[in-house]
Amino acid sequence: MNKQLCKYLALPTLTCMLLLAGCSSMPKVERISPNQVTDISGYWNDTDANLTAQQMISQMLGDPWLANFEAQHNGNQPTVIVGQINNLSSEHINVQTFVDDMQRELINSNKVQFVASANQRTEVRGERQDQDLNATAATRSPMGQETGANFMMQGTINTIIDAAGDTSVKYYQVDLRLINMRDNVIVWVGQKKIKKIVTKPGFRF
Amino acid sequence: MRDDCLDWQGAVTRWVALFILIAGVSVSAGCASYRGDMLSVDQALAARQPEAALKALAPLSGGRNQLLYLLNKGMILRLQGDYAGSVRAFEAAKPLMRYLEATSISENAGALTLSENLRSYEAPLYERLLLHVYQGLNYLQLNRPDSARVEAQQIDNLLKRLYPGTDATPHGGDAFARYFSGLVYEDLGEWSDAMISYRMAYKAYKAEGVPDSAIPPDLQVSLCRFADYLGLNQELAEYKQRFHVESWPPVAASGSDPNGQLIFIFSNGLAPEKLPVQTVLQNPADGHFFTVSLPSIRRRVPAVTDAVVDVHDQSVSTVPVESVAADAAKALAAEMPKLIADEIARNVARLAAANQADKKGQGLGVLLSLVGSIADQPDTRIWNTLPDDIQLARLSLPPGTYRVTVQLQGRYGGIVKTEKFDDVVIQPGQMTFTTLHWVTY
Repeated sequence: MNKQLCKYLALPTLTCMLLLAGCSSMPKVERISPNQVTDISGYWNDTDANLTAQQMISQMLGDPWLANFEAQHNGNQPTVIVGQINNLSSEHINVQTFVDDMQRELINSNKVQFVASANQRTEVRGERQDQDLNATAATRSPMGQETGANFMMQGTINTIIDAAGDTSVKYYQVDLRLINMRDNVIVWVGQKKIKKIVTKPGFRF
Repeated sequence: MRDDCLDWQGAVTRWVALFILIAGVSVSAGCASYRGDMLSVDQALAARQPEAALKALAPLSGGRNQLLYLLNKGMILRLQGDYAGSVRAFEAAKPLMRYLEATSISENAGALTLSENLRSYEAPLYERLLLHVYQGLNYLQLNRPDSARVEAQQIDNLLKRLYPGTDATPHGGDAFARYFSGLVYEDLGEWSDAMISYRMAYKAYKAEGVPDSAIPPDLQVSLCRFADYLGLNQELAEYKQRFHVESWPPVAASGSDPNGQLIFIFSNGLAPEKLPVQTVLQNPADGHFFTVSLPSIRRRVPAVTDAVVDVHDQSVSTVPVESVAADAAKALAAEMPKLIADEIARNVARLAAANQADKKGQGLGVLLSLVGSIADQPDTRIWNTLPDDIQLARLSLPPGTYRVTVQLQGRYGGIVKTEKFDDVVIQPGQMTFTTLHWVTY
């Protein structure tokens, strides 16, 4: 009788256990190194941002525009302002992450300096205006002492997607350029290309 | 060996029987709950109480209805004017849509033995495209045209992936998505891409059987305008002949148009409902029950026909650009052969289980087939908070800040409601998108 009952209930019980296994209510958290490659969905991620920043930094510091500027300006470092980085891709990409990475590395290299972007300086100017009224003369930062940028950095991110069925090829191209503020001459163009093949599973449990 | 095989078949059939009995009651309860929750949501929206609608929607969160929950939440937050919140809900829906494209083994097993409702909700193509359209509108209203452009790209990628090598989808739903993409590219001054999108929108309308005379007049003008600007003379001659359009405003170089444009997009009413159509039959020989259980579409005809947009010295009526009700009907018609095949499979599975149960006790098979038939409810899930139809008006205005007055024209005459939008800023060479979703129930 017991054997008969077990046979009757075995398959439904197994099915229920499998169903419940996927319904755990607690998230699993595992800490990993920020440098570890974690490709989950195939979309643009932190690894792509890091790779782009690294490539752009090495191109920017290695290309002749920097030496040319230093030679023309008694060894002074160029001042750069970050302009518009247009996302022309098919993904919502946070461009700020690799721009911030680039800024940090370039500033720390002591070869390039940045001034606050159009958005950032609005708040700074507001504070300076406030200091004009409220701060003591000794600590007040005066108006009209900002450093003008020599170059503006602009850029684009593009994607080309080729997909059929469960497989897609994603091609990203990030282009950055430095434009001389005085004469609009493009003095440097950096480029990073990333290509991925993403295969989506055809089945799920 | 043969006895082992029979034992195994018997065990499987017993499992199906037990599964039908246990799950039957819960599935029936789940379906009733879904329809009840959405009824409360619709009523709250009609009463202009989006907060109450969000509360009524909350029980749908999680499980097989998670995608529907996110889609409806995004739409309700838009109605509330919380565009950033709507962006978050729609962005959460996108990866789920991709994930649900994969065939689920367990859900298919449940759906083929018990009920279609055991599948996770997968949005049909027209809903997937409208997700990108409304997300694009969110971004435009947040003054983020670059992000709206991403949505236009995602529309293109989705259509190219699902229907490679074709200009229009076989069951419609893509015309307005292409038209909207054209508007986004035009807003950014990308004339070639705008022309390509407008051309594809025209082809999609034609594939849906829309005659040239019923193509939205703004699209007719845009096709002529950009074909002229891009020097596509043969194509221009064709459009002129088809639409009888003789003049159009010239395309100004980016930023040099002294006027700006107001694009008013009117979302009218609520999307159709899916209703259950269920017929239960009994075999007089053995008493077993069989079910024919399929969904049907019922349009919720809006109380408003169109909107008249008054601004400055201009008065323009909105023109239909998308019928969500028609898209839903076409999507269901396309899915019907599969639904019928699945229904047959469920009846066969229930019959096998009932026959097995009959061997265990008199009347057990009849009871099992009855419970299974009651549980076999059709899948009536649909993105309810979409509108019945979408309409559009374009006005060219000198730069300035305007009050835009919108009069909603009643289906049976008169003005149903007058809505006012203050401080609408028109800038030279730019588009300003203003939207209204008017829900009647």
